[in-house]
Amino acid sequence: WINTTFMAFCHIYSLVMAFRACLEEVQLNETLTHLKTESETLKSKLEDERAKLHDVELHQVAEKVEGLGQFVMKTRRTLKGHGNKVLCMDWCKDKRRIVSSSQDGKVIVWDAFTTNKEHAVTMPCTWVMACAYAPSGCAVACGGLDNKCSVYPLSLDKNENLAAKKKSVAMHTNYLSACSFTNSDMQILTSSGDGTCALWDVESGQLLQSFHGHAADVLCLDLAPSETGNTFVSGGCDKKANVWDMRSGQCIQSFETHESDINSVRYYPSGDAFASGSDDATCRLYDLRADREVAIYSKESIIFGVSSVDFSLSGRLLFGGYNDYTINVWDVLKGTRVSILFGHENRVSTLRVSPDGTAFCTGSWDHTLRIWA
Amino acid sequence: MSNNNASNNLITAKRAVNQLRLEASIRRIKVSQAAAELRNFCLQNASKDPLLVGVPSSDNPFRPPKSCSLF
Repeated sequence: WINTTFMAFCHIYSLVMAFRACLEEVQLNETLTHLKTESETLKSKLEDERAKLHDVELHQVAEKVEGLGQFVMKTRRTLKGHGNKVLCMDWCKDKRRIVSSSQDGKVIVWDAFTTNKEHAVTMPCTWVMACAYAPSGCAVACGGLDNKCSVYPLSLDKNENLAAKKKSVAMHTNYLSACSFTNSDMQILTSSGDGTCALWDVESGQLLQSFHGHAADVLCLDLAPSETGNTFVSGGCDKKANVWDMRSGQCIQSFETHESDINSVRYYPSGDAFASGSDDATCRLYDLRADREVAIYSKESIIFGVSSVDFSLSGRLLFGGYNDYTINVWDVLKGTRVSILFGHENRVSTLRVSPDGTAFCTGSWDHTLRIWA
Repeated sequence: MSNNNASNNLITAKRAVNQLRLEASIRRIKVSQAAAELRNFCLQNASKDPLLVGVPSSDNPFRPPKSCSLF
């Protein structure tokens, strides 16, 4: 009979435990429902607050501004040398050197005035999707399918093997989509297919801060102009553009009006706004102090995605590189297109205006880079 | 095991709510004011924007300077 009592006891005990587990689950589910409701309420409140201040459209405020005349922008230089699709490029602060990276694993540093190649590195991976010039002009960073961001110091000796001095800085768990030095050679900001952005110390390779919040691959990032403070914006496959505080890692603002992946984000020169380019074939302007989208740059005839955007020095012009091989130039204030530029023979994958605003450079899947002015 | 899932969902939901609370609480200005400031920035800097106003070919390193031939 000891056995039977023991068995009965075990049976009751397991019943009690199952009952407790059920109770806990019910409680958790109730709290979850409560939180979901609060979430919906807050989202609705956010929309209302933003709508209240939406008293006018940007183009209305710009009605009295003089319209822009005809633009004559042509290809002034063509940089040939990559063996496959150009995926990314960046200007050096000296306004003449450019670093570009390609699907074939090559990273090339060019003198854009003379079109001469100054350095070339072969990465151990293909699809080098990101590259950046260091502020000092003495190093470049790049990465892609290797999930890393590596820094190569540039040597004055052209014969020196750059690959030997390579320093691995960032480690993600998926591809590197973008990288940028902060205002010194000492720190690098990266974004990745693993859904996060991260800030790294170049010397030690240490992770200084990570940024979580995107629900899918992060495809692009841009640092706020230095006068504006320590923030950056990122765009992702979750159709969101997030603004982050670099010190705390906190997402301080989030914008979700695009209808597809955001391929490129760029701050307006004053730092008070940023533009984005998306697979939904539109570019959009978001004002950070009004906390909302204030302009859409689109045309019914433009149906291909935007891969890359950048502003002219005054912020009046927005250049967009598109997957239909063209560059569209938009009047930021009036919302109209002022020019369409042809020349590339395949998708435009990357576009940056030079540091002094005298020209802009595009990179394309047609293996070339073009300088326009 | 289902409790683990439920508590994970809870943590995610709490984070989402906290994030939304933060975003809802920021100070915003009217679009009319923000737009006016964007416009003013453009206009103030227009004259210094080479791609906008164009610079003489001699000043633009990418444009070929017009040659002047003397007989």
